[in-house]
Amino acid sequence: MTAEMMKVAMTTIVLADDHHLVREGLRVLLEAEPGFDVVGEAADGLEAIQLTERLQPAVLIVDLMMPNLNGLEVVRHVSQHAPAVRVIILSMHASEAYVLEALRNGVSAYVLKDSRANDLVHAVHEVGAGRRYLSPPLSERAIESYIEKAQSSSLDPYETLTNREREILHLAAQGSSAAEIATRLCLSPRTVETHRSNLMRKLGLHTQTDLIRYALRRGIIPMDE
Amino acid sequence: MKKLGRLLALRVALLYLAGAGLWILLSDRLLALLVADVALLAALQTWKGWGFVLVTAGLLYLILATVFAEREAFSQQLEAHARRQEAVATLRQYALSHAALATVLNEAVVLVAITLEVEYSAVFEQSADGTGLVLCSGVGWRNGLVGTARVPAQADTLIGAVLHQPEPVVLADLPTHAPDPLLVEQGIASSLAIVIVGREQPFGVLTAHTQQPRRFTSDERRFLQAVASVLASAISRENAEAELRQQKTLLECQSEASLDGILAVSPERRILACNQRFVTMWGLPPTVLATHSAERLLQRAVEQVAAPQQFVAEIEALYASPNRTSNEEILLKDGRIFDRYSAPITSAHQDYYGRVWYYRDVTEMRQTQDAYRNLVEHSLQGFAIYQDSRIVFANPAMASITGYRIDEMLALTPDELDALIYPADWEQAQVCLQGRCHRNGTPSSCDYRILRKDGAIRWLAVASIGVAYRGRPAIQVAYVDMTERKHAEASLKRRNQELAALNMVTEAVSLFLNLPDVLATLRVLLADHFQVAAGSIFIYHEAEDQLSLELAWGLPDDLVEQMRWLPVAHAHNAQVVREQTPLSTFDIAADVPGLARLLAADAARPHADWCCYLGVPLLAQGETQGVVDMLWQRTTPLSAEQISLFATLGQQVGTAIQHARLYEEVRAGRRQLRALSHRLVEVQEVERQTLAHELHEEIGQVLSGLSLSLELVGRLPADQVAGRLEHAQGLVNELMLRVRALSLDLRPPMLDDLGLLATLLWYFEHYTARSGIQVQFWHTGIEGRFAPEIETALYRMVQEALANVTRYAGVATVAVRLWASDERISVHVEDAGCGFDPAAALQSNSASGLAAMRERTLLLGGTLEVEAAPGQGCCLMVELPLK
Repeated sequence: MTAEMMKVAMTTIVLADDHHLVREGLRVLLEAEPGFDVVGEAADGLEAIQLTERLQPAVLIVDLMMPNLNGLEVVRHVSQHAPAVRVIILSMHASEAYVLEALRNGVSAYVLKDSRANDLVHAVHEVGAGRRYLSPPLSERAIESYIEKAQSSSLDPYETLTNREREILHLAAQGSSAAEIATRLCLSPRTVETHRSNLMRKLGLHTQTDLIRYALRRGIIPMDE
Repeated sequence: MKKLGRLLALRVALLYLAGAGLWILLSDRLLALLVADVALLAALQTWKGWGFVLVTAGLLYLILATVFAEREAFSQQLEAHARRQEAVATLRQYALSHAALATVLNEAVVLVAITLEVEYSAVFEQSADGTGLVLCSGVGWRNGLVGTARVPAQADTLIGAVLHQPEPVVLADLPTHAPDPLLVEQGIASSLAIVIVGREQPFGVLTAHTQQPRRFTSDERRFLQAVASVLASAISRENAEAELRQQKTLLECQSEASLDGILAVSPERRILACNQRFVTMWGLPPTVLATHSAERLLQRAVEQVAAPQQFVAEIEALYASPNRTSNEEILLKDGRIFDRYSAPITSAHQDYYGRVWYYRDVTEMRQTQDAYRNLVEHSLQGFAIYQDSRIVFANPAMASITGYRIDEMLALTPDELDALIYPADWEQAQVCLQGRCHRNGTPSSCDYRILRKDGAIRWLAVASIGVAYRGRPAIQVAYVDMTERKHAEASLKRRNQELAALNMVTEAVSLFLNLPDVLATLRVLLADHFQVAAGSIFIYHEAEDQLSLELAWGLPDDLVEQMRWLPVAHAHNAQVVREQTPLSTFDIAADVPGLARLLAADAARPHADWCCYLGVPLLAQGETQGVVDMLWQRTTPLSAEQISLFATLGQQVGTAIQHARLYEEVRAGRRQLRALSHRLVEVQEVERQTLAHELHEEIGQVLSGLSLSLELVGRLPADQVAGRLEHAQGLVNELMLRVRALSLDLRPPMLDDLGLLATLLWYFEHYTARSGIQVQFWHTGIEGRFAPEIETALYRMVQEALANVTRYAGVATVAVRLWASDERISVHVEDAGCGFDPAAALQSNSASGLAAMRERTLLLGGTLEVEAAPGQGCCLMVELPLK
């Protein structure tokens, strides 16, 4: 009974890493901790998924870089097909982009490979308790700031015009014909026509009226004229 | 006879009277003398009386018996004669009944055999050559003899002899003749034979034969003669009929074979004869012909002719005057034309038997004649007929060719006619017209010129042939006006020469692939072959819209210098460039003022009298490649043909120039490619060098330190081991950092794992940390993933651009704009640094990597632009298609 209870209280773990030495080291590290039971080891992504689905461990520790299916893919699959399994990802990338991607895929903890050994043990405990864990120096705040940074900035289409295109936009808005612009800028009329159609495309304009309306709105030509 | 008979009977009766009276007188007296006894005398007287009666009765019997016997024989003779007569009559009748001659002959021999009661009867027909006779009909002859047996015709045989005898011949009468083997064979003893008279020679012999010797009475001979004569007449009639038939057939054949429809009419207006063609021509039904009435026939004809009244009147007039002949043409309603000839039918003795009408259908002939007349009248070819060196016939076309009216031509004298021929061509014309001597020979032909009445010269193609005209030899001549063709030929010849020249130009310029050679060839051709006094060849640069003067000849040096680099907007030949059409003028000052000014500015002014200018665009597939200016001191403007020739030349040369330029581009591309590969190898080497240095110097050093530390652990006292291990741990951590940094520098795995945006964000952070330059980053629509080659290319190009900024720009911030739509993704990297000359940077293949970036862009079908100028910063713009 006690043994049963003991067993129930044990945290079952599956280890997935393509390096045998690393797996060995981690197993020693984890089994030294009372209440942890490493029930399976996988050498690649596919095996990790199969083992996890078969053994349904409490925790899956998976390396980010693995052959066949990388860690992120394994996480995505497991969080969909075995949502009860908590996943800890081991990574050498301290980049927030990776952390964010891992968290979005359903990872419970992101542990850096070069952090201290008991950081992983701590992470298993945290995850077992239903909390999220990130190895220092990673932090939720850093993640948030990254999300902010990665957000699409509003890009003014006018900014995407080249200087030549801006010149031609100004001249065209003032009513010059392609031939006149060509003479003025010492270009061939064909070149002018190419620039003009490029700038219309970039600005999402279709007709000469569109162009003049845009120029008025941007203040390229004065309203009162 | 009767009288003679009576006298004879009277004489007999008188003799009897006298004799009997004397007897009675004398016997009574004698008796009385001798016997006196009266009784006895009386008795004797009674006996004597009885004796007398007895003798008288005997005599009477003898007389009467003889008389009756004679009468009976006579009557028999008479009967036989009558039978023979009847037989002859039957035969004659038979012969007259138009029976065939063979049947008549058969009938004759049968009649002869029966009538003469002979075993054999025959007709021997003399063969045509007169050498023998054939048994052609016979009775009693052995089978197979009739029709085949032959007897000789010599006069020493019986039958041969008969041939030459007019009278019937009895064999017995001619004992001197040799016995005929045919007759001997049959055992014939007696023969009666007679000749059957023919037309020119005896037809043959009619014979009767018996095996028993027999005498033939004269009556029998006459009978045979009569039969022979019937046969002769039958034969003669047969011959006459055959002849008649033959003549009739001949006449009918002649009449039917005639091309004319022939009708003969008696004076009583009855149809005597009419041939089938006549019936067909007039479409006469048999019913009309059956009436034999010429009136009915006329009615039918009147319905068909175009002028019925005139037709009837003419016919009546002809019937009214039997001696007249006439010849008219008759038009029918259906358009046919009949030629009619009518003449009286008279015998040698001028007896009038009626009138004969000949009709001939001449429609086709008239149509052909009309067609020929039309042909000649309306022909564009001139036709004339010469006789005795004068024109006797000419058609209207001939009049329009020579300018003389037809009547004027007919009036021309031989000398005047000769004067029409252009003097220089006179001999040639004579040679051609000598053909007149050879009638029906091959036509002779030649070309020569004539002088029209108005003095103009026309080229004629003339063909002449000898013909007969109005029964006398003449020359028929056909004329075709060749003047236009001769002119066209001349202009074609000129055009051909020009084309040959053009061909030469094309060939010459196509030989070269490099521009200077092409242009030099063009110059040589224009200056030497086309005698262009002065000129210049410009190449058009579309991007700059400028002309560069590549070659010039015949122009002053300072002028050439001024034109070395001409913006099209200010060029004198701008019109040629823009409108892509040749510009030709005979007045430079008015039409090409720019050039006139340039020429006028020339101090020496040796070319002031140049007035003729031609500017020709050098075109290739509708694009201007350049312009050629040409100048002449001509007295006449260039012709349209010459201008078009030069224009064509411009197109040929334009294509050659385009090829040369493309070739140049290809060569430059190859050069660039070579440089690029070279740089690739270089970069690779640099990378390897860095890597090797990194591995050896940095990582190797740390590893050595680690190795040393771990070695020391074994030797150190226990209390120092922990410190040493910590040091070793530190080394390992450092090592891990270095290796990771190295790996990331080579290629961040993030680009594959997380995509472009995450990688760029990471990279900018890394970049700022290393270079101290802030990156201002704007982006739209790039959160998703793109094709790996696009992501890699953009990452590398941004990396390269930022590296350049670090290296050259000397700025504290750089702006990166990255945006994507469905079709394309674009990036701008802009700095406000010291800038550079992009053309030079692209050309030099320098370490800036600009050329490599352009290659990457081109590979992905995108565009790369650099807006930069020394001192004005730089903006690198890359656009890649996403489809």
